[in-house]
Amino acid sequence: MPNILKTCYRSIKALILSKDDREVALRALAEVGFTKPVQAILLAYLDRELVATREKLDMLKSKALALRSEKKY
Amino acid sequence: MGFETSNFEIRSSEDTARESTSEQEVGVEIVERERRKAAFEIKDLEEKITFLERAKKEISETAPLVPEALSQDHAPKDIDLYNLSKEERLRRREMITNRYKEALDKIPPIGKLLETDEKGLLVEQEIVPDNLVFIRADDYIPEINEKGELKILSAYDATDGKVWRLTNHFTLNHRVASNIGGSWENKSYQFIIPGEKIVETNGLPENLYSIDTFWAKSVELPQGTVIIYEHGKKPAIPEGREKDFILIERDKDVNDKELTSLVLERMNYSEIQGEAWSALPQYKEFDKGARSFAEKEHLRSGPHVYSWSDAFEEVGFAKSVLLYDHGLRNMLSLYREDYKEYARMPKELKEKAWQTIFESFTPEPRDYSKLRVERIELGGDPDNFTDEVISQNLKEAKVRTAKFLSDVLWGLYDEGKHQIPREDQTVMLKMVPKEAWQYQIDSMKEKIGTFEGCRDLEEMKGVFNKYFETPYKEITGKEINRAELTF
Repeated sequence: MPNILKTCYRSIKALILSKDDREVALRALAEVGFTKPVQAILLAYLDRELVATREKLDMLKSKALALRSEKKY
Repeated sequence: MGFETSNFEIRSSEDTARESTSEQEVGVEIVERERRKAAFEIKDLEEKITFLERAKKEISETAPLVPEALSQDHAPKDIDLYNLSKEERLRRREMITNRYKEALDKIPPIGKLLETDEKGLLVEQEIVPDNLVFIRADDYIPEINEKGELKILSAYDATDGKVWRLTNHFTLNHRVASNIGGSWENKSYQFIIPGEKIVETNGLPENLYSIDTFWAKSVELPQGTVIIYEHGKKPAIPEGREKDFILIERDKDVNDKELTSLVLERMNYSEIQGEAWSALPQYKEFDKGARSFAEKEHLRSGPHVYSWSDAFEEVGFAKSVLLYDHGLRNMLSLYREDYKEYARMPKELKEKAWQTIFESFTPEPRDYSKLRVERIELGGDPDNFTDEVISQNLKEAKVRTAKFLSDVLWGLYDEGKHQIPREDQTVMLKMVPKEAWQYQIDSMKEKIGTFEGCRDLEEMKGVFNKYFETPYKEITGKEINRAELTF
């Protein structure tokens, strides 16, 4: 994840975790340039990562299944 | 051989059975290991998916907060101002005028407007200090010296000579726009200085140009300067001179560009708009007029980024050349950290990311951002900028880089042959502190070895001897030790 996106994500986390200090978190968000297009990129990035990770997971699960049957013999 | 054969022959069926069992065991063990490995990987991936899903949910939920984040009590970014409708901009202008009425009313209309035609476009005219207002955006507080002068220090003076940058930069008739060097939005201080007064106090600048006017020294703020300072950062004013300066405290929800524009209006100066390299095309008459005045006064007139002095702030002579060569000057520090991650991103996401990141941080035309992306793709891996790699690159680049280098040297020190104005050379000499020359010569000597094998090496040696020798003598009053400079 590019640093700008990481920074945005950290700020979002801060926003969610520190409900008491909402003002600080909101400021951090704006300061790191968390605009709508950046948000869209973050989501696109996460979507892509999710698809790739799920595919990988499916492959691994089939491999694990094959390994388990192999053990029986 | 016989022993080996007999050894093979005496293998019993029991042995074979044992071996087979052990093969099976090994096989089972391998499968078991694979299975364990797969189980771990599955666990990792499942955790990653949980994380990604959670992150996605959190980010989606933040959607309604985004406009809120941008409208909190801090100034909108320049880019947001550009995105506002005309009505919204006017509404903000009116709101700010009302809020700062008291302070704005104190500003006397001492300026002189530029001439325009009936459509409001600038006509060809002479630009003189009377119709110029010098604007400086800065995060550093001005200093009061022992003579009671309020000064904007050059980096050289401010660091007691540790930073070799003598130039002190201003824009003319507009607040600086963010450019390749970085963001200039919402700085702690804006100094808005009547042209006639600043010239009266500091003399004419070395360079007169809309987007970048500079003196090669610390600059004294004259009477009549308006200082806009960010809330809570009031600068000290020399005793007894309180009436010489007008101070305006900028609230955090006001962009300094908006407030500066209002101050210019009150001072009765025309406002223009600038971009990275020049005034916007509709204000080209401004640069033309400024250039004509500069020529008359034997000043330089052009963007500073092309002048050689910048090289002295960079990591070294050769490095600067190489960075220039790739169009990457100033990009190094900005994108170093992001680059590795960026390199791994899929192409379409890269494009999106660049566009958005550039649009978010610098109000630049999209094509220009694209050009920068292409350049960074060409040779921009910041990991390549170690001294060893640079030396290697210089060797490999041979003629191209060497030619570039010699162009720079010729351009600066040749007297007329390449039509570079003498003023450039004079400015150059003034801008470079004495100590820098020795450093530069030493560093040149170190780097010059890397040009061995270049086609125009001979020419370069000549350029170096001829064109470094004269300024060295002018500046230091000493002769260069030629023996030391023999290649």
